[in-house]
Amino acid sequence: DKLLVDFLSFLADYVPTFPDELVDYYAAAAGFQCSDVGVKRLLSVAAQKFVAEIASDAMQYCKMRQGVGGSSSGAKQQRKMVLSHDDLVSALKEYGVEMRRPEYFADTSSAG
Amino acid sequence: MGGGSSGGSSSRDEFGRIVAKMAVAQICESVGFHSIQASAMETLADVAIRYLRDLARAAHFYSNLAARIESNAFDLIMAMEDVGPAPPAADPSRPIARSSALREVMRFVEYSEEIPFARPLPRFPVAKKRLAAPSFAQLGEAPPGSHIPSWLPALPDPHTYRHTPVWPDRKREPAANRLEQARQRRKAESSLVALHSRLSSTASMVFKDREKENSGSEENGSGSGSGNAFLAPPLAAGAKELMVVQFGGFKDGGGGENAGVVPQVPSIVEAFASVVESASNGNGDGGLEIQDGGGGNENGLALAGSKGVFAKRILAASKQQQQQQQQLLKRQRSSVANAEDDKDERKKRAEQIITQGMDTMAAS
Repeated sequence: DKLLVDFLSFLADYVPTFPDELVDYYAAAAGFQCSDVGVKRLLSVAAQKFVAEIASDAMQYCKMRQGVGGSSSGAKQQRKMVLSHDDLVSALKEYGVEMRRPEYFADTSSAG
Repeated sequence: MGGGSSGGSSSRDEFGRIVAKMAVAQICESVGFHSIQASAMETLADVAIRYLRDLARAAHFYSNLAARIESNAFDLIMAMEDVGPAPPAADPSRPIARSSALREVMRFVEYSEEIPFARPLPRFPVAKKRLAAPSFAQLGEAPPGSHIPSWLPALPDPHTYRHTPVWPDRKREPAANRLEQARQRRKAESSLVALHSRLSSTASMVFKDREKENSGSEENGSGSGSGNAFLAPPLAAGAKELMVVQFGGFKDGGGGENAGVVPQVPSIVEAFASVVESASNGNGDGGLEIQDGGGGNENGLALAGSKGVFAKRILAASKQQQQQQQQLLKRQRSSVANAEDDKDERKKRAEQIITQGMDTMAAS
């Protein structure tokens, strides 16, 4: 219990990446009402952790695709890391979010 | 949970999504990515927003379950356990403060560095302050009827619901207006005459300022009978404007016109044409005479300084008008039915309005 109290007071000083106003907006949209800043920051931090985990998983996928096997030359490591949609989809799959992206959109005559 | 935004809230949601996208991009940057695909960013932001809303919703549900409206930390932790990965051993006897979800979050906060959001944000959505209608007491009005308390908003002003006819603001009488118009026209024409006198070698022009009443074709028919033979019968029915400027009073060829006959002086459009013609032909005899509408109209009225291109355009227009006038004259001579004349009248009325507009433009 003391841990929780300490943590909440710690969070009151911490600045999460998701701004407070954003969290307030979406919490209000969901009906979440709280006067304690610590609790709202806890919510924000939880979301931040979630996104960070997904991003790091996607990073793993990205590195795998780039082929880390025996990367002797330093040039390979310097390759630009781009979070692509495919990596993200694979990472999200582990979290139970299934996404499928259409291969092409046949909205112009030149496509498909 | 409902599928995101819809309809009316999409505009405020848009702002939230953009902000979430920025935050997500910052998180990815801290993880190590150099760049991120646009679609991936949108997807991730969408997921983050949904997670946030889901957590908040679940916490709200838990608090409602406990008969509270305001959520607290315990509700949130229970919601986190619900949403997050299942704890290794779901033990109900374990105190909530020891929950694995919470511990993971705490570990995360400890080890990761603080990434503040890049921009300062206002509180949103911004509520517009609405002006309240003033009450009776504020306006100092006595409410009609004793049953209406004075702190209620006042009744609307009668002009908001009663339609009263609007009359144009007549500062002067119509006759005075017409006199004023005639005066302005005369002024304009005098300046045109001065210009033309400079153009042509001899300046013998006679112009009379007259206003053509918008009468029917009968008047023109009668006019053709009684007027000067050289000063042609007026063209077509009615509404051609007569641009006549009194100049020195000589070349009294037009004198005969005064007697109740309204000769058809071509409009200002043709006047420009005649200036061009006279200028180009080197018309030396001051050839600004009122001629038959069917022939060449050389009424040399031109706006000061409006030669050249303007005159050429006018020339073309005047040719058109001449043709029209010829046709009309033919029709008149063949004495056709009045129906055609009505059409012509309307056309001429329109032209008259146009020329009047041009006159006032010239005068002002």
